[in-house]
Amino acid sequence: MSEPLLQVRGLEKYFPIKKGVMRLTRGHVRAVDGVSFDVREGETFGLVGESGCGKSTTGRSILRLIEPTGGQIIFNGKDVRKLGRSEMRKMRRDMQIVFQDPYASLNPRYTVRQILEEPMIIHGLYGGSAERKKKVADLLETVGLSGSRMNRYPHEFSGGQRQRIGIARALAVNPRLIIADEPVSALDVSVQSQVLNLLDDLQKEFGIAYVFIAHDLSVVKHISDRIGVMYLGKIVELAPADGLYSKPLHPYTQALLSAVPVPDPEFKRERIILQGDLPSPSKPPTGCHFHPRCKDCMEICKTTAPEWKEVEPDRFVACHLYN
Amino acid sequence: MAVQALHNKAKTGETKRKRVQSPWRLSLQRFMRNRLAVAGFFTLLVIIFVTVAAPLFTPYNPTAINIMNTNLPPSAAHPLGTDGSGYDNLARLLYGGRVDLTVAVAAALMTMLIGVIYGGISGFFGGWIDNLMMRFVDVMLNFPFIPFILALEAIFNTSGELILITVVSLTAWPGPARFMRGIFLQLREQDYVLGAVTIGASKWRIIFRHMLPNTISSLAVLVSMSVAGYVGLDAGLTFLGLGLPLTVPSWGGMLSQASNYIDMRTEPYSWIPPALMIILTILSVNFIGDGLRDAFDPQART
Repeated sequence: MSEPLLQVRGLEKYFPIKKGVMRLTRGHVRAVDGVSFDVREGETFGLVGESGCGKSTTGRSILRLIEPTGGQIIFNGKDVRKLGRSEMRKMRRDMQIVFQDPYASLNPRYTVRQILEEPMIIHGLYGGSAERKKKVADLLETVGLSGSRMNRYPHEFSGGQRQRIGIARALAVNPRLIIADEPVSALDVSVQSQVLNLLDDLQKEFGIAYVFIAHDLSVVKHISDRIGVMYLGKIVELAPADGLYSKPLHPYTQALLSAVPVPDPEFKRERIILQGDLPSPSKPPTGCHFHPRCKDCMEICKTTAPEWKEVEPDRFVACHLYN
Repeated sequence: MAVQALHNKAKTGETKRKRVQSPWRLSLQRFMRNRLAVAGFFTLLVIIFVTVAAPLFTPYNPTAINIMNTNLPPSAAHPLGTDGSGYDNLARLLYGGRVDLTVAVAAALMTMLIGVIYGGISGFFGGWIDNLMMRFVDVMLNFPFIPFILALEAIFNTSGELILITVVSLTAWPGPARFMRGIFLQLREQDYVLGAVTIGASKWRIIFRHMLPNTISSLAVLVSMSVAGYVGLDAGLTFLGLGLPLTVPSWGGMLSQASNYIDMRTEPYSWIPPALMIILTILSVNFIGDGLRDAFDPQART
């Protein structure tokens, strides 16, 4: 198999907790605590987990929107964390982001044309203004909007249309990887599937790889090739989408999947209700982070952190049940 | 295809609305609907007009004393009478507005400029820079204001419009600076600013193209509110004898001169008009500020 497009190795982001008059660091919030995964050229890697499990921080760390505190991010053979400013700017052409909130992600004082032209100007793509204008119209058509609306402002569009504009902005530099940070969570269900289909079409057309971050397993299933399940700053299970859904290994994944609604009123299934709340990432439980809420908790889980192991080809899990 | 169908739908929607509604136009529309703000705007226009066009309304020179005509009651020649030095009160009132408004507007713009630069740097860079800069602001905010002005005037050994503007700007900037820092901190985390980072925009591009244009609405509100504050402040300082010298016509100076027990009772025509002008100016500028705040509110829908 060829070299993956993106390799994340032991990514860490600790936020210091400062207390007292002297603002001394009294501990850390381990938002991302040793996350590793690969994204291959043209595939979709889904990243799921509860709110606050660090999935957005992971996505933003990869783009260095948040400076990670540890680990390696190897994109296209280069360690992103070691790049200088100008190299980083070049690298940004290949890595883009689509945000969750389509109302906050577009500058309200820019017209759609200005929004889409800006990346082209910054990277000196497409010669003159006429050529850029044509490209802007093309981009809008690509995401299913009319090119004639380019002189309008974001507030004149609906949420779904704005999200399309956000996607068009990401596409403007012909990236190879797009981090989609819950791109449909803020949209109406009817619009969600349109945007998901658009992302899918774009992937087929341009061969873009996605890191698709979501808290909704049914959304991720629809679009992902492989899925990583995050819990409290760590990936607990990583598997191809089909395998994960047909045979979840980690008890946390099982609990998540049991909560996905099934469109069949006759279907009865055992819901696994998670006990308690998500623990604070500043004081994670000892041993396996998941043990206080786990239905299969054993003695060893309380003391020793499980190893990250490949239990089947291309299936990784961190759980003592499989050690 | 679904994409194609949507595209067609978008095209038919196109014919319904023709005018592009820029954020500015929307804000203007909202402002015009606020009656109090519009009234304030026109009141202020009238005040500015009568002070700028003062020679049209009075033949007298506001700095020419006439000892033959001191303390005259209102008459056809002197509609507001004359004061103890023989100045024509109406001329002082009209010309005085020039000074008061210039000082207030200039001081407001100066404090804003300092505030935006200082607060912008502090908020944009954050971290220890921010910490250091904000501690200095804390010190400045706790500085006793009036002794500071006394000290500055003693150092520069003069009083006048320029010194007043300088003094007010040097003492009043920490408030706006802290405010602008908050705005920048908030903007820094906005998705569209992060989006600009991911497309490779430079720091300066982000500051000048993405952040500053989005602070203008807050700035306009802040400027109008501080103009109102400084009109009162100038008048107050001059009243205390710390602002403008009495040879320069100003509303605060007129109040100061009339502020003895006898004049207050016997010559209401000498101090009520400047007091009214101060109140009217402050009120109308405040209403404009309120109107601007509502007009720029992004949550408001037309």
